[in-house]
Amino acid sequence: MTDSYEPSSFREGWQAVGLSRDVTLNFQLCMDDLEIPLDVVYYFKPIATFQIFGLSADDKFEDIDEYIAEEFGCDPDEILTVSSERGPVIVMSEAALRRCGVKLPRWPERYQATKKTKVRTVASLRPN
Amino acid sequence: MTALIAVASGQKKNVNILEVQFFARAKTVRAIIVTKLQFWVGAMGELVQFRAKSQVPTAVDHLALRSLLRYMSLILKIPYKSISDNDSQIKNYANNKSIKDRKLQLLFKEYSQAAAEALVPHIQKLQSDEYGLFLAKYMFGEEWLGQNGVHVVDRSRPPALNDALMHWLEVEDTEAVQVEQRYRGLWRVMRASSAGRRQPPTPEAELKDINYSLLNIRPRDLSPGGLCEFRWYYRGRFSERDETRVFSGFAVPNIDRLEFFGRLQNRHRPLILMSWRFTPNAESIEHTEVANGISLSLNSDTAPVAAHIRAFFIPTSDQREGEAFDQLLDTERKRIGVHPKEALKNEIPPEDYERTIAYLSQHEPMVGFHPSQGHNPMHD
Repeated sequence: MTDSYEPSSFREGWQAVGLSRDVTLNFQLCMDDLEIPLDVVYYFKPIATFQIFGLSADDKFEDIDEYIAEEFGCDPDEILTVSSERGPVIVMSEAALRRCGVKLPRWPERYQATKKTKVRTVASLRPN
Repeated sequence: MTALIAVASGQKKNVNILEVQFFARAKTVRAIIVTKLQFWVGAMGELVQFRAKSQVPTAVDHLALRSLLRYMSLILKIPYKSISDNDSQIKNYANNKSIKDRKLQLLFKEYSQAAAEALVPHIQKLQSDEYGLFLAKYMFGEEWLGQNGVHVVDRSRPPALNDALMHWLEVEDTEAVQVEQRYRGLWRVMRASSAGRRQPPTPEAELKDINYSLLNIRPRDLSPGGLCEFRWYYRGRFSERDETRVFSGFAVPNIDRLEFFGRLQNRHRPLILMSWRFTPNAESIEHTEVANGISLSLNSDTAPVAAHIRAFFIPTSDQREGEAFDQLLDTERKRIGVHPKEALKNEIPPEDYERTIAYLSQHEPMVGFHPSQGHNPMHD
C-alpha cells in the first residue's frame, strides 16, 4: 500500500451489532439483500474511526475493505459495509474478527450494559 | 438509452475475438494486476452471437459492471455516492459481496443506468484509455459511445498497415512515442507555389506566391498501430474551397528524419512523400514549433511537385479534443490555398518571415517530368 494507516485504529473499538439499534435495523435491511449466514454474531465499527492518512473521505469509504483485508489477513468477502445514522460502518462476523486476532468485548458484558439477560443472535433480531 | 436497455436485456453482440482485461485488486497486496481473459467466439470472420438472449444479466455482465464501477471510482474519480444514494449497497455490489439473485438483477439495471449517466460528463477521458473504453463499449454499446462523441476503434482486428510499416521500417515504439509527443497536432505547411507551370525550373525565379496547406498529425490512439497517422489538406491555385485534396498516411521516424508517407484519398491514389529534419532526443518532451524539409507532393493537376517546405505548429492544437479541435481544424482548413508571400506575415511569427522566405526561395518548385536538356547518347 502506498498510503499509511494506524493499525491500532483497525483493531480497537469494535462493538456488537446488538448495541446499536440503528445499525441493527440497517443491517437487517442489508441482510435481506445479502447472502449472510444466520445465527452468527456480528460486530460493527464506523468507517470514520479507521485511521488512514492521505485518502479523501470518498476514497477511504471505497477502499477501506482492502486495508482491513491487509491488516487482518482476512477474505474481503467477510467485510460488509452498512449505512447507519452515524454514517457508514464496517460489519464483520465475530468468528472472522477473532480469527484475525482482534480482541472483542466479552459477550455477556455487552448485554449487561443494556440490561438484557438473554443472548440473542442477529437472526433473532429480525422483525417478524 | 436504447443501447443500455439492449445490454440489460442481453441483446446479442457480434464480435470475432473479444479480449477482456480486468483489473483486479489483490486481497493483500494493493497493486493492480491484470487478468487477461480471451473469449474465442468466432473463426475466420464468422459472426456469432456472443451473449445469451436471456433477460437475466450474466455473470460476465455483472463482472463488467463491477469493473466499470471500480474503474469510475479509481480512475475517473466518480464516487459511488454519485451513482447511488445507497452508497453502502453499491459498494457491496462493486466489491462482489454475496448478494441474493433476485436483488442482483434489480441492482444491475439500476447501477448500469446510473453509471451511464454519471459517465457522460467524463466520457472524453475514455478516448485515450483502451480499458475504460472497452468496459463502456461492453456495457453500453458503440452506438451509445458514438452518440456521446466517442470514436471507437476495433483493436481486435488483424494487424493493420500501420503495424506492418512500423515493423518493416524497424521503428521502435519509443521513437513513435517521441514523434507523437513532439509533433502531434495541426501544422501550417508552406511551400513556394508552383503556379501550375510545367517548364523546367529556373534558379533565378523570384518567389511570389506561397502555397499554404494544413497538416494534422493525429494521436496514436485514434487508430490501430504504433505510428501516428496524418491528414494533409491541400488546395491548388485554381481550386474552389470545396475542392480540397486530402492526403493521408503515416509519420515515420527514420534516424534523423521524420518521413511522411501517404497517398491521395480519391480513386487515383498517387503516393506522396515529405521529409522533415528530426533530432531524436528521448529526454525532450517539448513540442516542436517549426520544421524544415522537402516534399514530393502533387499540384492541382496531380503532377508531382518537389519543393522545400517549412511548417509551423499551431499552438495548443495538440491539447484540444472533440468539438474544440474540430472547430480549429475547420477554421484552419478555410485558410489554405495559394496566397501572396506578403500574406505569410499574418500566418507565422514575424521573426520567422525573412528566414522562411529565404528558405522557400532557395529553389523553385520542380513540377512534373522533363526531358533532359543535353545530348542523349542512347539516341545516336
